[in-house]
Amino acid sequence: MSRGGSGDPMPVRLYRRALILLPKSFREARGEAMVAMLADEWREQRGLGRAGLLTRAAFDLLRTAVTERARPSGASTSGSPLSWVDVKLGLRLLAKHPGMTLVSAVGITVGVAIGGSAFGVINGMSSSSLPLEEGNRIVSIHSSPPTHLHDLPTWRTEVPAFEELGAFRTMTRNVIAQDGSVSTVSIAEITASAFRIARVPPLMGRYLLDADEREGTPNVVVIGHGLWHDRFSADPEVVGTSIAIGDRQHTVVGVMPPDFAFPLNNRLWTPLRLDPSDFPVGRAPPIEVFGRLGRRATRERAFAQLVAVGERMAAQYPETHQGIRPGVFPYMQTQTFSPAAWARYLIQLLVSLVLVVIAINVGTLVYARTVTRAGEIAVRTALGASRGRIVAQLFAEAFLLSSMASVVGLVLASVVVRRIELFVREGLADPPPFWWDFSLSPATLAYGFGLAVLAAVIIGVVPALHATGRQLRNRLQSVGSGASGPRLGATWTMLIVGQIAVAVAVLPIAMSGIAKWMGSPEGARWQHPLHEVAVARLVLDMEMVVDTEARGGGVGPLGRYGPTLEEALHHVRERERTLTAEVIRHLESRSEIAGVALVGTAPWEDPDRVFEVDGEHRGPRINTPIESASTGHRVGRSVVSPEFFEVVGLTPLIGRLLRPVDADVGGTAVVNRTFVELVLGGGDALGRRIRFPVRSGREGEDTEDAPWHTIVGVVPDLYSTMLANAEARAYLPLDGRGENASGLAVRVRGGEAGLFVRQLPRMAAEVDPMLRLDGLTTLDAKLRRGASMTRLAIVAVCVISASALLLAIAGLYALMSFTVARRRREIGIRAALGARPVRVLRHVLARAAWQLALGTAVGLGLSLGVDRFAGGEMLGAREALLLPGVAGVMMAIGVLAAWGPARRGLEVDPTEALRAE
Amino acid sequence: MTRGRAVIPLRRPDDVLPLKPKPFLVLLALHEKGPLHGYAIKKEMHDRSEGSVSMDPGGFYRLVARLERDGMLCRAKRPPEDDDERRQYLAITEWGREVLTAEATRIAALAREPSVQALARDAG
Repeated sequence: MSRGGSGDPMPVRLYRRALILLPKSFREARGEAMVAMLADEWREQRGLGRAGLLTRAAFDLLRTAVTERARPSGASTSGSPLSWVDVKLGLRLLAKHPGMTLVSAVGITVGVAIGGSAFGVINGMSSSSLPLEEGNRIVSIHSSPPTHLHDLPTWRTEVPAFEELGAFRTMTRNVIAQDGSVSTVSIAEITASAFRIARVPPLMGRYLLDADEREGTPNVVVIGHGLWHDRFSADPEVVGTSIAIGDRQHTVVGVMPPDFAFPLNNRLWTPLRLDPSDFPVGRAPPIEVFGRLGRRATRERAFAQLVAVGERMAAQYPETHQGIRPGVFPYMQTQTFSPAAWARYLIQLLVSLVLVVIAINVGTLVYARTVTRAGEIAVRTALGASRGRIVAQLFAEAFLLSSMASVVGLVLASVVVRRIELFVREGLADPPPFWWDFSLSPATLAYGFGLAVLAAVIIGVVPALHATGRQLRNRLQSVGSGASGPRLGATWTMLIVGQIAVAVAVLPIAMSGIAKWMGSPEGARWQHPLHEVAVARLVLDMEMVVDTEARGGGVGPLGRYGPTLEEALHHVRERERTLTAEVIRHLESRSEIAGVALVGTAPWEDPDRVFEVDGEHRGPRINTPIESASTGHRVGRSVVSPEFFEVVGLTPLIGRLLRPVDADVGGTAVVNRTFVELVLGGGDALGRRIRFPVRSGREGEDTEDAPWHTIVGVVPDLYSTMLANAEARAYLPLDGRGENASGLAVRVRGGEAGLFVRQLPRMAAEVDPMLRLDGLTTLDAKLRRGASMTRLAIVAVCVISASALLLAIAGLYALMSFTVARRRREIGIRAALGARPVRVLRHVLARAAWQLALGTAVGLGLSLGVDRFAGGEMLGAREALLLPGVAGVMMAIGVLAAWGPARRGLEVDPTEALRAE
Repeated sequence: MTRGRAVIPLRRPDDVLPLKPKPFLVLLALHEKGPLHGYAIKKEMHDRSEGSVSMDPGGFYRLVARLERDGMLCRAKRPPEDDDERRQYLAITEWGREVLTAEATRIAALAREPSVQALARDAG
């Protein structure tokens, strides 16, 4: 027996089914061959390759379906069901029901905007190929444990799959231009081969050469286009001038073109001068190795060659290379966060489900309308239209609607993606990698198109198949008699009940989030003028990164600072302390500075901590986790110098602030108002003791060495976050011995710290060129930045909730009026038989009320259930009042929707109603 | 095997030149290897273009349909050793071979141009 598809894997079988999208003639002529081709390739691919294959095949199929259907010849002869007439009819129908068109379009727009945004962000962060010439051939090599520096020369000579190999490491340094201006720049120490691998020629001068990597040759640097513009005013004579990087002078030998930021997002390139012979194997500073695959080489072939080299080296140097496994990865995957392919597909699937849910909702509306067109459909069938023809027409109507809504949705998505991009760029400590691209890509457009088709299938094809199904024959018989069509039973009741339940359950929860936002201080109204405060962290750059691997093997890269590791570290710490004191002296001597404080752990960067309050142990374990469902509050621990309170403008509410003597003696603490309210229940705070145990990771040793701190004062809250109340916080004195006090908070007298902030790096560099200010910004800018994403999230929740409410209201109205309209004839007959109108109305509305009440009850139950499951976090007491409000609105809409058709039913002429029967 | 030839009366190969890379690669593969099925042609195209040309089933068979309509390809018999009856074997027609030869001659002539050669030399 021949192979004919029975043994195909599930995805290939699904693909085969999806061929239904193709025009019949093309499907019959090529369909099976297409399936065979996909099956052949599927067998040869593995893992992610298969996922990529399927995605490509799906888009390819859609494209083929559209192209072949649009082809003039063949389209009509092959019986292709879509035609221009369908489009015209569809447009007419959309215009005929503007309310429904608008509601459906808003729903689909929101769905596509959500899906498109998620796709845009995920796609933007995980492109498949570097934006360089044949960027897909550039790969990373990683071995574990890393022995890159020592293995690089061997890999270069013994792995022919690579055209060329390179290496780099990055560091941030002060770059001091000739005019004395200082900027903090991410520098790549990189091999000269990297430029050949990137295949980007310099704009001016030359790029690095292999000879530059030799120790003892002059210090040279290649600068990026942006830096050339900003720091050298695009000086055409820049090549040959010198700049200082930290405490060393470098000669500029070249300028790279705009947009070149290889290997990550770098603006300065210096030669990588690391000699493997200076380090024991396995203890060299970490470097990243990458390479360009040869024209005919593949990642798999390179990997096989690397493994062979690795095995040989393991046999040759068992003590250092035993068990080392190298791997070859796509370049972007190893350099930055890049979600795994399966995770990307999963997220996308889940996000797409939002549209599916919305489309089902819209589909319900469309179905209600389609059923009212049963007579028209039956007549068309009688006149010879095939079922496919009628389904195609209904699909065309739906596709028109969904594609127009998708265009708007994609425009919205591009706006949202840009906002998210801004947030991500601001939130990252380092600039994002150069290959991140958040612009509206063809892939995003294709995805949006796919969503439009999906929505059209759900809202057009599914109701159409139902409406043209088994009951069509019966309807055909009843057309002449004017009877009303299919009867609606439990399905409709369930839809109505479900519609109300979801609205009642979801909306108050969403609205409670919005209410919390509206009621919170929201950044703009800080109690203290935080824009006058500049914050930063002082960093003393060392010539080489302190390498933890070196600790076991001696001084390693710290050798320059002392003969033993201890001495070197001691030297570095002492130097940091001296320089910090000098910077403070420098700052305090300036007239515009109102105060300088040292900060060990700042309130704006502190994670939640485990804590204990004297005499307040909760539960069997001594250290209660801070954020627990029972208390719901968090405690932060800040270590600050006494000047901190003055700098940020906090005065004591009760007791006193920290004093210099506290730093010497220790054992004191100041807490904020929220701490007193949440942790101490509003009771007396002064004299109570708290401590923050250090987790050792070993059971039973958690709390041994943590000292107790007696509360000596209470201060106001520094700030509130957007969605939560101010957090409970304790301020401990900075003693200058234990914690590394590298944080600075500087208050600028009576003005904006923003202007002063620009002078600070220069000031620090004047103290020592290796002294750098990290994360320099004003305090309010720092806090606002954190709030901007929350604001975006809340706006998104508002839009989604509003469209959910709109859809729910429209859906309910359509369903109620539709079900009552179905009974118009019955109402007429009852009236004809002498029933009193009030009685008839009561009868009809009673059923509607029963459905509404059931839906409301289910929704209330759901909402309270979700709230309880979340530990009472979802709904506040005030927000819970929204529940009856939403329920009331839904009930009112339902009754209103039922009232109109019921009234019209009563107006039917009784004789006419009876004759129809 | 060569029914495509008959439907192209009085046309000269030059009329349909230049060929785009994908049809050229399809014709070249079939010319050199004889009748092949879809996936085998796809692999040939991928290898000959050093990975720069890749096709998915829909796009591939749209191209095949066009080449068939133009008379350059025709269906061929499936060899008895292939047991997958869904596979469609394709062969180049005489007309297809003429077009391919004309295109190859055109490319070769272009490659001999001194300025083209100089450019290629500069690109390394």
